[in-house]
Amino acid sequence: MTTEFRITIKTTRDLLKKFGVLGGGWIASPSTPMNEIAQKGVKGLFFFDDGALGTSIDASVAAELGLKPDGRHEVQGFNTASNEDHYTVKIVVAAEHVPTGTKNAGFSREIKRSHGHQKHARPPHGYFQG
Amino acid sequence: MHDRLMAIFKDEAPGRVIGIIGRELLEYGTMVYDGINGTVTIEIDSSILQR
Repeated sequence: MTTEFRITIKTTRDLLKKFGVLGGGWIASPSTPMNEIAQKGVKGLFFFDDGALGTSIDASVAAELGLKPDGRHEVQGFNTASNEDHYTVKIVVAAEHVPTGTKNAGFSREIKRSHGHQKHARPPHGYFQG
Repeated sequence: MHDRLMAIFKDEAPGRVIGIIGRELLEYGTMVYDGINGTVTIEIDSSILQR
């Protein structure tokens, strides 16, 4: 393995136990340049969930960014299934770019088939950049 | 299930929870969960750039 990015989450034992793995980042429209993410994106915490296949965004974020759904997709939960909206978004996760030693670099992923109603999604197409 | 999860986060989490990142990212990573010290480190492999 060659480490490209390192995400470091420092919290407390109690918070980690109660909430799981929460790391900082932004969600923005896919056309937002990286240097404008902080101004134009929505900042918050991502829940890193190995029980989830794909990426979900909160519906309130989609509304705040004025995004329109680009499709719908059947999603499955525990004994549940429903059809949910997809959105194309850019997700930026705060991280260190290890090869250059750049701290707080953030790396982004443009999600083509994400969705906005707190459900699972199929694996999206996308890319990362340092 | 995630609806309930997000509802809990909205009420109690230390900040605004805006999304969930699942295995489609974690499949490229090595995650070290240090529960005693409250620290988690996720190292992402360079192969993610080739996707």
